[in-house]
Amino acid sequence: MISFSAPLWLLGLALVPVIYWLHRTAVVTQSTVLAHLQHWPASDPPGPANGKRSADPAWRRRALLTALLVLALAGPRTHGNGQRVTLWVDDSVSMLTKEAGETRLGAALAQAQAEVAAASLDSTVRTLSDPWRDWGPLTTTVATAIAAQAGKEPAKWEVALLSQTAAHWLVTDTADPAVLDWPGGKRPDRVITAGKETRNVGIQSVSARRSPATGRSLEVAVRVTNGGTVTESRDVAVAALQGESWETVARWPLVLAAAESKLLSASVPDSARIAASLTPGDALATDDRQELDLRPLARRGIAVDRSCPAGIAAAVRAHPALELADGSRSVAAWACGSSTNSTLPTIRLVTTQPPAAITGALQWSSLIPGELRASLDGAAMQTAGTLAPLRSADRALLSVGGVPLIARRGTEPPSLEVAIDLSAPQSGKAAHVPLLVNLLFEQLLGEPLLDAVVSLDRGPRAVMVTPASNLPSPLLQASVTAREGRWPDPVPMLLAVALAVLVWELTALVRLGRGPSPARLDA
Amino acid sequence: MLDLRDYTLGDDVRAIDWRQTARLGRPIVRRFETPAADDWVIVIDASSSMATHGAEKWAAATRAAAAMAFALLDIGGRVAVMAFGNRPVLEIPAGRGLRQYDLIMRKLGAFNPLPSGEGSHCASCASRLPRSASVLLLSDFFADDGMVSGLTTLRESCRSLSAIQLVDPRDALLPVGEAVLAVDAETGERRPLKADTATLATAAQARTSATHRLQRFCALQGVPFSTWRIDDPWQPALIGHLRSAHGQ
Repeated sequence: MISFSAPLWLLGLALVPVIYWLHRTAVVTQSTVLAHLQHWPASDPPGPANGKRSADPAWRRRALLTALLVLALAGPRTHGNGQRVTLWVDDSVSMLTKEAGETRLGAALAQAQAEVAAASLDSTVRTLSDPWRDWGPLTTTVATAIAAQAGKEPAKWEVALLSQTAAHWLVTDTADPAVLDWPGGKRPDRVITAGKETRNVGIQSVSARRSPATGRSLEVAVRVTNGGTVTESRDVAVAALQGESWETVARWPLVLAAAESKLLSASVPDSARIAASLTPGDALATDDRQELDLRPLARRGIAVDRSCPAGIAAAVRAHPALELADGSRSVAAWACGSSTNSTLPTIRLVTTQPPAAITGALQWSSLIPGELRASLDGAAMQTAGTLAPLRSADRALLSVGGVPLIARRGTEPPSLEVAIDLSAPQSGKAAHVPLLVNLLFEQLLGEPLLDAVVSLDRGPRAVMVTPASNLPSPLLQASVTAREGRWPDPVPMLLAVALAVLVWELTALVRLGRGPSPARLDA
Repeated sequence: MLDLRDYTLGDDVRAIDWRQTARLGRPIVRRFETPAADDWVIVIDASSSMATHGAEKWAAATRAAAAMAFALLDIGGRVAVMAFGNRPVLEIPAGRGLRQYDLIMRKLGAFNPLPSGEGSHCASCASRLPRSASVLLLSDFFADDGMVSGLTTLRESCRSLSAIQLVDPRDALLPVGEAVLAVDAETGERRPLKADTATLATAAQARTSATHRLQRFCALQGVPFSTWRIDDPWQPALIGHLRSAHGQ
């Protein structure tokens, strides 16, 4: 960007077309007698029929000289008179606190923009949440864009981002003192602060999991933190999305001392989405309501072959993350006998021989977590058949004496084969069947099915809005000057070029007075 | 009789002037007009184009004319000098001997061509030329037709004609980068010119082409023709021209 200290001088640039016009229309007073004019080409056809005359080529250097002098007189200042400043904008949640009808972020950016303009600085903007992105000069558009994406906590960044040729100003509310601790022990040259509000209670985290006891309800935990400096009272409510409407399913009155945090929990009906909210609201509305998407906790539909032992269907029905489903709603299948559904991940029970006790130690693959191995008792299990020989892409998950009892086949979609008897009466009553069913489906689907939790944790800093009161005063002074940038003052350069053009003009005038030079005579 | 000179071995004894021999005490012979020493007319271009750039072309032409006249007078020739512009502007009648040379030098030295308005009409001298005369024409040949018509007229009016073109390189130069109002020295025609490199090159090419046309014309007409760049010494130019003329 270029600005001018005396822009009225730029009106002098209007002389350039005047100079051109004068060189076109003025009578050429420099006459030269030629021995024989017919040898010279007619470079400027005379007469009104043509009507156009080309200007004396000397107009270019005279116009250039004029333009350079006018520009030098106007006092151009490139990029803020050579001074640059990087504005590091704290765009965390606390900057969204509303005070006097405006967010702290908006007020701070407006103040920074005014100071940058007043000092004619060349600014560039970076945010603490994404310090690697250069937003360019601070403009109203940039300020609006930053405000639109604000609400993210500061990221860790490297000292290499601190330009040596620019001053560094921090725009923050100082609610999080850590934003002043820059990498490499650096400190900002200046801090532009915003905000005075010291009261805020916010929802720090919300989490939910399916109840292991019933499998039909959800256990919800809400952590509420008082980020202000005085004791606050709030009503905490949890609502569940039932169809198209929200239904309050839990409510707590709450009194929190300054900086106190409490964890509230409740069992709520199954839902695709829950919301925790605080009433009354406060200056930071962002943390007064938090929603949580519970779709990751939805039960997976399993299609169980009718010919399978009843214990398998019972185990699927009892599993908190599984449910029996027909083929269209199922994500996996359990096949027994010859019937298979090749479009879904499938567990196939192999029953090729009468049940027989397992003799020997169980040999688990390293893919099976240790706690699952320990919960399965080999003495309570019986073999029901012999698996087909393993191919190179297959993997044995459980073997006894080198004979695989559970194997993963290298097929697409994935499939498991099980040669353990699950039809014996004692097997249905035994504890190992549900555990084995859980183990097999976790291996088949590639994700943990028990203790799945969805959570939204914003961290303890997300509710802190109280500005720091002990900032060093030099950081707050507006008189901190930006460092000299890499752009030199252009005025001397313009004057040097103008002087060169003037020498050129004088040389041409001298040559004009002398006539053709001796060098040209030899040409 | 042309004049007297000392006797040298081989001179015809019948040419001894006994009265002068007796008076001077050494053998003196008479020199007579011979058929080899014809009448010569040196015709010089005195148009305004010869007066440009300090009239150096005119000065060079007078130097060459004087040298040629001296040589011709020295071998017993009869030499007349004429200068022309739009019409004959100087005429020195034919004569012999050193007195003629003195006359030629005095009159040429006193004459200056007009700096403007004087054209190049060499044909205006044709009616004053003796038909038996040999003519040497010194000119820059700057005319719309390259003076071809004038050369033709002169050629038909004399026994023989030869021509030397005087070339001043400054005639094809202008200060580059300037717009000037160019004025033709002879016609007074005015025209604005943009003196860029292309214009200068075009002018130099036009002059070279005109010289080539003149050379071809003279070759066809049997007129010995040579060019002399006036910043070169005149002696080699003149000797070279005479040699080429003798060769023809």
